[in-house]
Amino acid sequence: MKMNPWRVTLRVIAILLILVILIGPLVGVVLWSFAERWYWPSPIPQDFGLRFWKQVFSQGRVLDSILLSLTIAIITVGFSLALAIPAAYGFARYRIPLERILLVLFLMPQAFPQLPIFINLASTFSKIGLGGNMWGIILAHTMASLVFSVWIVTATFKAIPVELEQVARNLGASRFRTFLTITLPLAVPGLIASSIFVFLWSMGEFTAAFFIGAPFIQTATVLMYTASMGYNLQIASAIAILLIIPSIIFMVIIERYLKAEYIAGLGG
Amino acid sequence: MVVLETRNLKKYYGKVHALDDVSIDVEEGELLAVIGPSGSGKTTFLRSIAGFVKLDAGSIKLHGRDITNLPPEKRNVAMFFQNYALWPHMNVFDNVAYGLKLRKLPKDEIEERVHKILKLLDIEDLVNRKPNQLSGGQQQRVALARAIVVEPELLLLDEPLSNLDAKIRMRIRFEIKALQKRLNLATIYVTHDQEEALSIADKIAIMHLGKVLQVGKPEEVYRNPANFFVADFIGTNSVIIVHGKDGKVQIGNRTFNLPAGSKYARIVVRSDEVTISSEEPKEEKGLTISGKIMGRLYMGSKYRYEIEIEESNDPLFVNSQNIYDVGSEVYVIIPDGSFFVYEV
Amino acid sequence: MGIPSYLPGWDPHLLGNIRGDSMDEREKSTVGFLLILPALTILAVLYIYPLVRSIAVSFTTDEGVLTFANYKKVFDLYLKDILYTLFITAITVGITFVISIIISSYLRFKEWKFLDYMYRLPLFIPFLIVGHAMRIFLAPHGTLNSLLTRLLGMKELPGLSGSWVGLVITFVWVMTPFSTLIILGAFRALDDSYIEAAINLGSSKWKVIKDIMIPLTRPSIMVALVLTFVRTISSLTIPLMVGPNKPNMITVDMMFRVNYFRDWGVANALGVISYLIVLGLAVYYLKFMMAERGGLKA
Repeated sequence: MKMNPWRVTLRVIAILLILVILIGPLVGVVLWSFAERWYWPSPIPQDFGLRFWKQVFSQGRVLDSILLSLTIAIITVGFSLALAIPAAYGFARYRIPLERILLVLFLMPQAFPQLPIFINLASTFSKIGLGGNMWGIILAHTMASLVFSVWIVTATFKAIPVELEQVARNLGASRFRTFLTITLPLAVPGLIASSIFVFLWSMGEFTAAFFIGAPFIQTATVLMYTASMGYNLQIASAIAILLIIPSIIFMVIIERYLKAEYIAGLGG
Repeated sequence: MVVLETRNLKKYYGKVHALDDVSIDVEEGELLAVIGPSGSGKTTFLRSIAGFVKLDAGSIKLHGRDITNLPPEKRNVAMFFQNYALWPHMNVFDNVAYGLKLRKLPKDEIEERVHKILKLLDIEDLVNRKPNQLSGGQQQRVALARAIVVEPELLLLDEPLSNLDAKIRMRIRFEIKALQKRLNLATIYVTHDQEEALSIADKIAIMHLGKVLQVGKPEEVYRNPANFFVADFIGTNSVIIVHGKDGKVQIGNRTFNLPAGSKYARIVVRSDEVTISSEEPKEEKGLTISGKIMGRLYMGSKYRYEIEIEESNDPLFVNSQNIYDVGSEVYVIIPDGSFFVYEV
Repeated sequence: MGIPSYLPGWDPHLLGNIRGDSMDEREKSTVGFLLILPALTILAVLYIYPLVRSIAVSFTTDEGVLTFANYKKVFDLYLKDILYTLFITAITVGITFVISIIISSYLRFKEWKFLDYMYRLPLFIPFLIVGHAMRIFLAPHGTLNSLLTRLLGMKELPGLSGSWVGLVITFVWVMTPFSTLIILGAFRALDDSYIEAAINLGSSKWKVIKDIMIPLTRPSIMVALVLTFVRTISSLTIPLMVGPNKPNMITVDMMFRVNYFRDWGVANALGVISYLIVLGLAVYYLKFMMAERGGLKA
């Protein structure tokens, strides 16, 4: 098929425009992370180098904050699954009064102004020794990310035909054994997807981490915020890239689960 | 010997009576077919025996043991699910061996029994496949193997053939029957297909709106239907309504008395058992109706005729291997035992 | 990652009863409630309690006496900020809506994998990082101006970061993929026959979008708009990093009130006002849905 030259030009312009709009804002972040010297009006840094990346991985403060964020995210995923798996099984397999309202309740932390909640949680936590404490942040993250795990796992369990469980019971397996050998293995993809959502949300979360943790402990996002506001653009950009990479990788992996209901809360 | 004894089973879903005082027994080695239209309660009956439906009243005994309130896993009845319900994360071997593993049998015995049953069902070579690599017929056999390998006291089959092609269905019908006889396994077979039930069952129970209308041998049910519903549900039939006059219903060469208060009679005719003739028969046996052929459909082995008769507004549908022209006047001869009259 | 085919695509109605009520064989048992109790407890303690507390604190003095002083202070100090917040949010919702409709319509009619994947890019990037990236991108000497000055042959261009325009651009950048995801999903769920019938009758594509596609997908579009509104008005990090120093969005005011003045009373009063705005919208949304469907879907 012969392409109309005008159309080709138009298409190329459209592609460029989309790239500038969507990738453009991120280009600066990447450039800054490698910039050792960058003065206006040069379009690219005068000196490139890995100095700041080395700093990121060697300087205790930066590395610690990234490790802290990872630790918080991983424990949050654990807590979230531990709470969501039984809850989701309850929603999927039992008749729960006010089922819909309860399910919407789990969405509330993500679909209603969050900041006042975290401010008050922080002030309560500081009174009971959870302020400036990793566990305080984990609790807040677990609460706010429950919607991802509860909703995704509930949908996963509901999608598993109940007959698959009934056959097992019929052949002599107890309810618990049936859950362990049939339901849970079949739900693994959903569990992974929900874990990824919770993990990403926790890694990128700033508000709770800031009010509960700072200034005593700094997650990667809090440190990035401090660095960016303090015009330490290289460090901020390096942390930003480290936080974006898992997002993009996971986004490709769980493309199927890219549904609006879950994403409502992502981004913070 | 009675294997299963159900007494006065009742189950309500709100106002709907899914089971309304159901009592059916199954003898040793017997195949009981439960038939009825959808919503008749046949599946609820099956699921209540398996323990998936909590009864509102009644009792279930298996070999004299009261299992009414036992959880499904303690009943030792094996259920075959309509959609097979094979576990997608396990291969054929693990699917079939699951029940045996739960019974904590030694490993070599499990393997031996699984292979024996797979061989019996002629699916030995599929042992390492996953369910999604199997055809519908193969899945059906695996599900059957999984149900009978645990040597249950009772086998429950829920529409076992409904997901198969019509062609395979015929063949598997015989295989199931042969297998069931060979294992001498008391079986309840739920289906909506009356022909399937007639051909496979030792005993048939017909259900409608949660009630058991009739229980009996296939021939009994076919020849002596207990009521209009059974007569109409079983077999290929044509139903005509004939209005009465002075307490009598007159049709063809016959007259039937209507009980007081009845206004009309419904006559169920077994469409395949009639003879069509262009001349008036001399014999007075059976029921002879005269009418005019309004339509003819070619059905392969026979023709299906739509016949307009004087006595009723409903056309009579009958089948014949002979060919008659549309528009011709004919006599339909229905032998005794091939028509049933019910007053309304 | 292999996802078995028996898992259907996510559908919010899956969360309701899959089976009809009379056939619902799910057990009615306290076991079910006990299973969801731990998760509910976490929600009650860590969400409901702070929520109630924020309302309570907004109406009391430090000594615990009932007062409206906090609200008076809010209106004295922050009325302009509240209006500014509504202004920014409304513009964001409006522009996001237009762009989402354009992208969704395009992708509904034409398959373009490149755009289909690219538009989702911002979805998973945490807001804070977006804020940082936009600070660099939109700064007076930022990457955007570096490109534009060269293209236009100019020496200097004003920076957009630190202005309300930059703030709106950033919000739109973050919100569009999300609302497009919803609207495009709804557009794609529309049966081809509706659209083809209209085109056969001679409607232009633009008319089909305006007269057929948008009216038929109104509930989904409403969801997209409402969620965009709530996410915008609740965001702290983006106005904090990209917005101008004055006026501020109320989330930023809340943060400053707590961090610089340790004034939880006024911060919470601002919080309660944000609740009220969102609640007002929620009521409007529910009314809309009632009218649209003749009642909420069971």
